Amino acid sequence: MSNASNTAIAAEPGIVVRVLASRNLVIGLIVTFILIAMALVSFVWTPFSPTALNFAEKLQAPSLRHWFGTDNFGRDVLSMIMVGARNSIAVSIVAVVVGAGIGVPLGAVAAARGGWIDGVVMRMSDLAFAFPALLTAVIITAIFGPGAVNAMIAIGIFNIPVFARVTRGASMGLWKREYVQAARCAGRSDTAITALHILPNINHVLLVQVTIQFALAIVAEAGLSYVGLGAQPPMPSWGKMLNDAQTFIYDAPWLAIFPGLAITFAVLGLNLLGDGLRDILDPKVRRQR
Amino acid sequence: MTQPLLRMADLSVELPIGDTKIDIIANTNLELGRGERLGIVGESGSGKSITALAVMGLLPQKMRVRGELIFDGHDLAKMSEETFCKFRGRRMAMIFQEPMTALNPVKPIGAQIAEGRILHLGETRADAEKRARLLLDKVGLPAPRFNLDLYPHQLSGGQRQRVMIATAIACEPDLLIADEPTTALDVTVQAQILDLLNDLIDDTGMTLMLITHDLGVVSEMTNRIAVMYAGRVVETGRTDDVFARMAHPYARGLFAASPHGAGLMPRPAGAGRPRLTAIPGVVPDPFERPPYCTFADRCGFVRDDCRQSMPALDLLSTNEGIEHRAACLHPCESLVRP
Amino acid sequence: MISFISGRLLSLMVTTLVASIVVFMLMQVLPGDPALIILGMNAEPETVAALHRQLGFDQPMWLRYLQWIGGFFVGDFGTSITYSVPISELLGPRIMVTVPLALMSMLISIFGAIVIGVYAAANRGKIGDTIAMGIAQIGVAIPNFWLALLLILLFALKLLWFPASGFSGWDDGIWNGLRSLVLPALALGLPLAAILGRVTRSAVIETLGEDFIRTARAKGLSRSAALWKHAVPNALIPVVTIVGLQFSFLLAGTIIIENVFNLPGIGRLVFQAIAQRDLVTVQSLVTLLAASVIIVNFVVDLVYGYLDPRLSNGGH
Repeated sequence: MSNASNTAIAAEPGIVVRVLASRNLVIGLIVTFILIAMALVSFVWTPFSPTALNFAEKLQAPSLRHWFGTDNFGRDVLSMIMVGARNSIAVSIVAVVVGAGIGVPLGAVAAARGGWIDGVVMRMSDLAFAFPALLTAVIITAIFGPGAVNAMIAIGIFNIPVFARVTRGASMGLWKREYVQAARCAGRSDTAITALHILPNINHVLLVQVTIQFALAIVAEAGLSYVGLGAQPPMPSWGKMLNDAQTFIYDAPWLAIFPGLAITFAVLGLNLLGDGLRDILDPKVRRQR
Repeated sequence: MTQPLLRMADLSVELPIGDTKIDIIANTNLELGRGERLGIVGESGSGKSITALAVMGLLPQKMRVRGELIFDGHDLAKMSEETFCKFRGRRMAMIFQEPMTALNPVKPIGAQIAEGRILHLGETRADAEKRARLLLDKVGLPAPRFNLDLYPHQLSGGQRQRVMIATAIACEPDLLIADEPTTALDVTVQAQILDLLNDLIDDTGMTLMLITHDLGVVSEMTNRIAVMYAGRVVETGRTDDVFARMAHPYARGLFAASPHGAGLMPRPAGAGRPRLTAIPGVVPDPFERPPYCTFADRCGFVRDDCRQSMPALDLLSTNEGIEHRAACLHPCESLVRP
Repeated sequence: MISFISGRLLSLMVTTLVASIVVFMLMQVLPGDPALIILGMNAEPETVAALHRQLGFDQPMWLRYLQWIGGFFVGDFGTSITYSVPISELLGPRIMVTVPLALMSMLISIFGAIVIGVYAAANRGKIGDTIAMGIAQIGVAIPNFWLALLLILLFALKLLWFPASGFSGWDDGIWNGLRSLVLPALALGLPLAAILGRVTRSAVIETLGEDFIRTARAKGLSRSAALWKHAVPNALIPVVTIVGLQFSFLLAGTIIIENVFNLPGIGRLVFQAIAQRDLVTVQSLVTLLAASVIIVNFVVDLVYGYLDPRLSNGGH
């Protein structure tokens, strides 16, 4: 068919796509920035103490004094959410670092060596996917005791197969490329090729996966602390706040609303960030949209 | 003369881009009589496929048709989508270039052939599939080797193209459009598919619009030809006449660039096998088409007045009631082949 | 087709067996002596030793594994330490809660996804697409237990349509049982529908660009007929794969959602068993859950083979 008209047709959505893409990215960046800023500010300032009990002001509806209301101990919900962001971010960062730190090398080795090593890594990740991730995390935290640190490890563990798969999948094709073959013929070691040629070419895929896993980790952390296996009192965490809120759901619905909004807001922001990054970094997605 | 089956009058296909519009096809006039076999030739980007899609009403969503597109007395350009659906597949059908991807991979071929008859003729599934069986026989895919419950992936490219042909002729359409029907196939298979098309058209008296860049195919399959360049018809006439004269320099260039055409070109005695000559430059982008003869910038015979105005499709001669026209201010006079 | 199934079946059995070994080993390295948990920290050493014998802890590990896994083939999953009843008895009534819940959630997920995904794809680039995908984007971000609380607030406390928690059982009518499961199933299914809806949209968009859609249109099919008869059946292939992967999420989700709604299901049983260090129960339940994930993915593979004839019958 006519080549010239084809490029012309492709040119128009191209502009729209880029605007859309940057919109995802811009919103994602703003939300992520607010999330991190909230956590950082909470170290030096919160409207009220997130832990001090004040029964005189318990279960107050949102007001100018307490924007998000107070809980049954009279604690300021906004202050608790700010400090809770710290917890969510810390747990998620460690979980992603654990997952990527072990998963990426595993996937890279599987792709570089192929054969039985690849088979073992892939079967292991198949196996990991057979266990509901949250169930594994619940078991791990139950075994080693509830707490933020164990939650980090538990969530990190089920990130490992995800990163292993993504790394393997993305680098598999690269190993067949001419320049990699050439490097191999030149006597470069697999490790050197992986560091010089493979990882730099798949880092955009990994970056997108990091944002996705970060968002999932926030949900998983909230889930664990919701069932009492995450951060322990008096450290506020979003999931724990929701659990506490359930008792008062009829009298104080705001207790159930704001921590949930915080989780949704954080996850939405990270997902948009991931989508935005994928839109601008992955040429394949750019063409499909 | 009776009314033609298809008549394009000042037909343009426009594509809005931002605030402007560009014409992918510009002011085309073309007629196609009943039972005629018209070949449309040209390079990639000349607009031949878009012309076919315009007739089928299957243009990409943003493109719009301007002018008249009369099919058997109905103006397709003004027809509602709903009515058009009753024509498509029933009165006019199309065969596409890529048999590998043009069939639905998850449906048996029988169901795909029968679908049109169920839709247009209201046949039951059983009747339509009985008919599909006959159609498969007709396109050279006999039972029991080629059953209706085969899936496309179980067939070769040539066999799939036969299924496509069976699908297209299922409702006995008046007009068959074949867009590069053999380009994607092996050379040996190409000839078989062309023979099949030839026989089917002879049997049914269908009108054929054959789109191709292969001049050999055109000379065998068609009795009339339209050469397209940059969204315009630049030369049209009886296939033999056009091959004999090649009045438009572009047509000459196109022929010189093709193995089939080059064989017809005059050559000095003892010069051996003719060289294929590429036309210098590329088809101008629809954005950058000049307001004068679109071929002038690539033309070896260009003169000053060629860059003054757009040449009309002027009459050169009439032979057996078919006009030979070319859109060139200085058409080549000498015959390539007496 | 036969070799396709038998190959899958073999790998299914191997994976399940390996999974059971992993679970068993995990439970062996656990800190904390179950005997001490049963008897209390101050129990006499002789009593502890006696209980160890009774629980079979004096036997070699491989023998205990074989005894345990051997029981699976005759429906004997061991005896719960805390409840002192066979685990199969604990399972019976709880399966009647969790399986209907999982099925309802899955149906909600699939139907929701097809409605929103096909609608968005058919209206690609228009305002309807933007709104549908905006909703999906938010749906993906909402954690199911918070959605559960919101659903309780709206439908149980404000509108009084459904009970806020608990399960009345199937004895006083199927409708009453279903009523208690509607909100939990929505809480589990809607976020999954959002994820699946996005996959469906891109799958349908990709298929709409295929040549065979143009062929279908050239046959005279209307835009929507080509969409439903040709694009959707092809687009379902990748969608079905995700459905299989989602099942694992779904089971994990039941652990939390059954807690939110106080439903006496498998998820809650697992959670309680973990909290009470009822190792035999945890071990058997986790193995059964892993097996069910593997089996569901096997079924998905079969559906896949049915949807995509290229997989089930070879070419020439």
